[in-house]
Formats: sequence, structure tokens, C-alpha cells
Amino acid sequence: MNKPVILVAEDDSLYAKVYQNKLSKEGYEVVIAGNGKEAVEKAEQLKPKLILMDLIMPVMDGFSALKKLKENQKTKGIKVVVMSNLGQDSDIQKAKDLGAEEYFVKANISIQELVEKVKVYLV
Amino acid sequence: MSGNRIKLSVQVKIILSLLIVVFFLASVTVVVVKNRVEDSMLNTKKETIDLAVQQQAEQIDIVLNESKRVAEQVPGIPGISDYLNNDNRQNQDTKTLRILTDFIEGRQVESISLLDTQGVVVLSTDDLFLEKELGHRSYFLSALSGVPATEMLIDIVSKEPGIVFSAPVKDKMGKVIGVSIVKADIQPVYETLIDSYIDRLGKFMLVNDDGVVVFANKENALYKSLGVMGEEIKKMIQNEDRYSGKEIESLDYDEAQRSVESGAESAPIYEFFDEDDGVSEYIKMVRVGDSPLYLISEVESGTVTDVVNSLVTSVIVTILSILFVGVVVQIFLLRRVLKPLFTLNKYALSVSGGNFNETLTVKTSDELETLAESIKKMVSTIKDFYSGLEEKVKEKTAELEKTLEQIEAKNIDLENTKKAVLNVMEDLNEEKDRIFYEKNRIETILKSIGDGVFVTDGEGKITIINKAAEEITGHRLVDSVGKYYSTIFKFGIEGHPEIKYRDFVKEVLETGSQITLDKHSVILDKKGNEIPILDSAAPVKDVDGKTYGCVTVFRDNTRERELERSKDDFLSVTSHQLRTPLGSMRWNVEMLLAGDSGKLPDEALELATQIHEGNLRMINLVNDLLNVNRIDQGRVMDEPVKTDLAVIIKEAVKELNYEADRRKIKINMDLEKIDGIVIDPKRFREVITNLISNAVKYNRVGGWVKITLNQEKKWIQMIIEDNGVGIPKKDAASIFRKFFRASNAVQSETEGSGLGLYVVKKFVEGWGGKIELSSKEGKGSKFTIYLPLKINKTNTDE
Repeated sequence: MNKPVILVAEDDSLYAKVYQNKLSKEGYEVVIAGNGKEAVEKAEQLKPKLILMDLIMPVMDGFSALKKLKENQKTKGIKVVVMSNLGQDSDIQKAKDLGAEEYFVKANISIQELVEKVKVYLV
Repeated sequence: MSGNRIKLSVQVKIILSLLIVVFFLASVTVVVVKNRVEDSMLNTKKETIDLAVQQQAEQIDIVLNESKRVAEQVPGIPGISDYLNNDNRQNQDTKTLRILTDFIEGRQVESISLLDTQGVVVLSTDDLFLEKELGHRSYFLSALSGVPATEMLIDIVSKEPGIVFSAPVKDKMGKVIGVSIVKADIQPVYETLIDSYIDRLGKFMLVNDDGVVVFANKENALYKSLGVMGEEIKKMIQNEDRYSGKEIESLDYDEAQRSVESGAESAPIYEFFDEDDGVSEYIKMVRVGDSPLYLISEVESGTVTDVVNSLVTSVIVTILSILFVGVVVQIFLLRRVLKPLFTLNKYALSVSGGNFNETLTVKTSDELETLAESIKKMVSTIKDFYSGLEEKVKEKTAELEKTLEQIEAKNIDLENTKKAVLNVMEDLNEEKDRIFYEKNRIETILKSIGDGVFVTDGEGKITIINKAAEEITGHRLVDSVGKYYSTIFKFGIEGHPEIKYRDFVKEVLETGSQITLDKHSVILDKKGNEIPILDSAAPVKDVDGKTYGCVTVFRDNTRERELERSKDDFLSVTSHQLRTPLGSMRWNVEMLLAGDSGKLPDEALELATQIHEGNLRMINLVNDLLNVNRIDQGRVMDEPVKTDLAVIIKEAVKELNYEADRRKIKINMDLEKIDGIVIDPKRFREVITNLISNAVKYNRVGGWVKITLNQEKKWIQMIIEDNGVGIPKKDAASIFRKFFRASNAVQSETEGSGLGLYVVKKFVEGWGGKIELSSKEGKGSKFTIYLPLKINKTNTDE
């Protein structure tokens, strides 16, 4: 049985490690993309059910990546949950406007909560 | 009816004066007549008494004389002298007794007794006298000496007066050999007295020459002497035992006594006060013939007065009756005369009062009737004249009244007009002054204001643009006046030139209320550059509250907007940079705590927990800082969804459970499920977490926290209560201030930013709710939040 794939766009290695670590333990296959561009490419390639998207990333930021994903017919249906430490209302609004399912400030959510959220999307 | 009263008093006066005169005359007459009558009656009375007593005495004398004659005959009766002369005579000799008894027959004699020279009764027609010794009696002694005598005594046996006549019985030689005694029949004397005139007139007494009353119609007068008895007489009476030893009491009749003692034939009539009867009396005393008897008559002088008085009374009654009848007749006559006069007067009064319709009827068939007729004729003439006059006067009065009314109305109009004109003039002057003043003021204000100001009329057309507005926009007043404001001033949303800006002046003109424009408003200058502004538009209203214009004030906000933006950017970057390590730290610690890398030894767990705690606190601090910034800029964006408050509270509590357990603080919840509340769950969670974490933080080991959630009509009530350190009274008012921390919180080692309650309050108020605090230092705190069921949506741009 194939493990559900979660694409995580995250440039911070510390976070990437935690995602990898925790979500693998929960039984998911975690694919890390180091920037927005990579994330867009991997999304098209892997067609994951869920993308956890950071916003501040080199090469291509999360907003642009989100925009691209939603513009692309192939990746349009993939659920994107923004996981960023930006927390301005304008950021949240922008992300939602661009088609993000949800927006979480990483520091404000516990790892357990994250796992539960992910579970909801990957049922 | 004062006229009538005067006339009545005239009537009364006449009657009264008549009465007074009549009374006076009557009184004088009565007094004079009374005195006269009394005098004459008294004289008559005295004379009558005088005469009556004398006549009575004469009658008694006549009766007595008869007995006396009989007594004188007795010695001459054959056989009497022989009997007494006989030495061998027998007492009560039958033959002699028979002679005497026969002699008495038909005569007014009661008894005849014969006495020897010793005074012993030897023979008597009355057995009671037989053998009585009467030798000491004066009448015996007198007769023995040859002189007949008469004596009146009271019979001891019968208690009635008796009259005794003694006469000497002589032999042929003329020698007195005995004495005959005739006791007269007293009855005829009585008969003359009883029912006689003097008896009827008053009282009478028969008195003997001892002065002792022997017969009387006066009660208790018997055996009484007329006056104080002389000692000599008293002695004699006692010696002779004349009155059978009966004590003779004295009656006070001094004058009569003296007359009796002096043996006078009569005494003049005199007035005497009878103490026994207590009345004044007339006393008259007359001697009966030459007998030793005196008749005394007493008549109460009062009887005369009474008679006179009764006479006078009847006279007075008669006079009064006549008077009364007279008065009645007078009144009647007076009324007869006065009544028509009253009628005339009443009529005259009525006519003088203006009433000509009164009827006058006087039927006296005398001068009054003629007078009444004349008056009637006169009145009728006056009436005719008057009624014509009245008609004219009425007419004229009505005309006059009408004219007066018209004049009055005109006057009022005039007065009102004058007032109005004056008011208007006054108003105008005031208005002129005011306008001038206002114009100056407004011009000065507008000039000096650094903000741009433009004013429109009621149709939104520009009337004024101040200097600042000209400088900001580059549009000049001269080119703009009279043009619709939006054709000159282009407003828009920053960065969104495509969005059509609201026609706020129109809104102000329509609603009449002030409008504050959106935060991100910009105004385009003449060259089309966006100039961020802060502005507001307010209606200009007249006194009636009608909007006739709009004033828009806008401030060039470029600098503020830039500053704000750079601050936001800074905060955004800072918070991001802070959160990044904090977040990864959190997750890592949480994985440690969750045992992802194997179960931690207790000590390590403890340490990890503390790291987690500090980590969370730092995250919260960052969040609070961001929140405060957002709130301060009014840029809180709510995402309200239908939310189960109880679930969120439970989640928040769950997160704080670890800390609570560590300090053995018990968290109790009493949560009511509330349907239909639409609220931003994240913000709500922030609020509730803040409050509960405070309640746990500022508590004591073993304390408690109680959370209650319920619905009260249209309000949701949420209470977070604890028995912790509480908030000092002096800090209570400041507790919701930014960066404020209660003095006891600062002193404790507990960390805090002083932002939590500020954020809580801002959020709650943003939802249209309110938060209340009641706390007592050392006892605990109680925060009560009230939220409306229908939550306000907190707008980002307000």
C-alpha cells in the first residue's frame, strides 16, 4: 500500500527535518521542496494530495508558487495549506485569495495539531 | 329691599309711640286710681267695721238684756223667798224645783240655781250645780250685798262660755236671805254672732271684764287674756278658781286690754300686727251694753288691699285688653294706609331701576289711589320715551362695540407687525453681525488649518477650497467653484485605482451624518499621483437640522502611511525571524515530550517541559506584539465562522492543563452549549487563553479556576474566576492598559508582557461585547465577558 504523499515546501532545514521526522512516523511519505519553484515542479510530478507551503523561500516564494500551482490545471486540485511564520492579516488574506485551504503560523500550532490537521486532509 | 325696611320701621315707630303713650297714661291712671280707691276703701272699711261691731254689740246686748230681765224676775217668783227663808228647807225641794222648772219653760234660760247666804247651791234646775260652793264668786258677793251682777265665764263642763246673772233674794223685811243665779242660754248670743257680718269680715272675740277671751271664732283664742294680766287680777282669778285653774295665756292686744281695763265703752279702731297670724289687722273693740263683755273684731287690713288689688288687676286687664284691641286696630289701620304706600314705593323703585313692566294696583278709593293713577300715567309716558331711547342706545352701543373691536383688532395687528418688524430687524442685525463674525472666523480657521478642506453646497458642488487643499491637490478654488466635488477631487483606494470610490459627500448630504473615510484612501493630485489621506466628511446643517452642505477635511497622510508601512514590514520580518526558530524549537520539544525519540527520563521530561513553556511564552509575546500593533492600527481582520465556544474553551484549557497540574490548580468548567454564535475562533481562543492562563499564572499552589459559559437572553456570559493573588484596588482601573502589569504581578516572578488583557479587551469590544473585572487582592479575580449573540464583525479597515 502506497503511503500518502505530502509535499512540503520548506527552505529551513530545521523545519524540514521535523516535518520529515514527524509525518513519516505518522505514516506519510514526506517529500521536501527547498523553494517554490521546486515545489511547483514536484507537485506536478508527484501529484500529492496535500502541499504544506512555506511562504518565505529563496528562488520563488510561497505566494508565487501557490499562484502557479493554482494556475496550472494539473496541480490546481492539490490542497495547499500555508505553513508560515508570517502572520499578518494581509498575508493570510493574500494566501487565501490565491487558493490556500488554510493558513497556519508555524509557531502557533503544536506538532500534534499539525498532525491532526494533516490527517483531516489525507483521509 | 331697604326701602321696605324703612317703612316697616315707620310702622313700628308709630305703633311703639302709641303703645308708650297709652302705657304711660294707663300706668298713671292705675296708680292714682289705685291709691284713691285704696284710701276710700280703707276708710269705708274702717267705718264699716266700726259700725258692724257696734251693731253686733247692740244685738248681743239685746239678747243679754232678755236673760237679765228673766234673772231679775226670779227672786220675785212666789215660793222662792219662802223656801230660802225656811230654816228647815230641804235641798232640791221638789215643790220649789217644780216652780222653777216651769218658770224656765219657754224662756231663754239654761238653768236657775238658788244659793243660801253661804253661797252653797241648795236648789238647781241643773243637778250638776247642786251643793256647789260659790260663796267666793264676785257675782254672789255682789248679789248678797243687794246688787245684781252679771258675769261671763266659761263653763268648766261644757267648755262653752256661759253668762251668769245673780240677783239677791230678800224676805219681806227686805233682808237678803239668799241669791238666785240664772245661767243664760248662750245660744241666742251665738246666733247673733255666727255668720254675722263681722264673722264674715274677719275674726271676733268676746272678752269678759277679766280680759279673758270667752268666745271667739278665732282659733286658740279661748282662755287667753288680751294682754299681760295684772298680778292682782291673776291672783284673784286663781283664788276664785274662776277658770277651773286653767292657765291663762296672754294675747298681745295692749290697746284693747287697756280699754277693757278702763271699762271704756269702745276704743277707736287701730291697726295691729297679729304675730300669731303674721298679718296686719284692724282691731275694733266695743263694750256690750253695760255688761262686763267686750266684743273685739279683727279684720285683716290686707283683705282690703287684696280687694283693691284685684280691682286694680281687673282694671289693668281691661285697659290692656282695650289697648291690645286698639293696637290691633291701629296696625290694621296703619297697614291699610301704609300698604298702598309700600306698593307705590316698590313700584317707584322698580321703575327707577329701569323696569317699566311692573304693574301697580292701588284700590283704596282715596287720595292714594288717585296718586297711584297719576304715577302710573307718568311711568307709562316715561316708558314710551325710554323704550325708544333704549332701542337707539342699543343700536349705537352695538355700532360702537363693533367699531371698537375693529380698532382693537387693527391695533393688535399693528402691534404684532411692529413686533415682527422689530424682531426681524433685530435678527437681521444679529445675523449680520454673526455672519460677518463667522465669515471672518471661518476664513481665518480655514486659512490656518494645515489640513485640506473643501466645502460643498447641498448638491455637492464646491463652494470653498482652502489653501492647504489647493497645495495638496494642485486644484485651485477659482477653477473649482460650482463644480461637483468628485470632478475635481478624485478619491480612491490605495493601489486600487480600478475601484470606484464611494460618493461620500452624497452620502453625507443624504444621511446628514458624519462619515470617516476608509483607512487606505488616497486622493489624486492634478498630475494623477496618489496621495494617501486621512479624511472625514461632515454635514453642514441649518437651525432646523436640514443639511445644506458638506465639509470634507483631508490630511496628507503620506508620511504616516510610509511610517506605518515600514513599521509593519519591520514587525512582519521581525516576528517571522523570531517565530522561525521558536516554531522549530516548539515542534522539536513537543516531539521530545511526546516521546518520539523514546521515553524521556523524568528529569529530562521536566527540563523539556520547561523549555516548551518558555518557548510558548516567547511565541505568545511575539503574537501579542503583533496583535497590539494590529489593534492599534485598527487592522484586525476577523474571520467569523459558526463556532462552538465550549469546544474552544476546552481546547484552551487542555493546552494549559499541564501547567495547572504542575501547580495543583484545579480548573472547573461549567459550559453551556450555545448555538448560532458566529465569531473568529482564533481570536476567541486568544482571548480565552489569555484569561485562563492569567488565572493559572497568578494563582497559588492548590488554587482553583472556574470557567462558566452561559446564555442570558441575547447575551453570552463567560466568567473566568480564580482564587489567586487578585489585583490590587489601585491597579484595577489600569489593568486593561497596554503594557500595564499589576504591582503584585510585577513583584512575582511570573513573566508577562502586559499586553494580554489589552488585547482581550480590544477584541471583546470589537465584537460589541464588554469585559468586567471584580477582584480583591489576595482573594482572587473574576473576569466577566458579555458577548452579544450577534457578534460584530471587526473590520480591518474601519
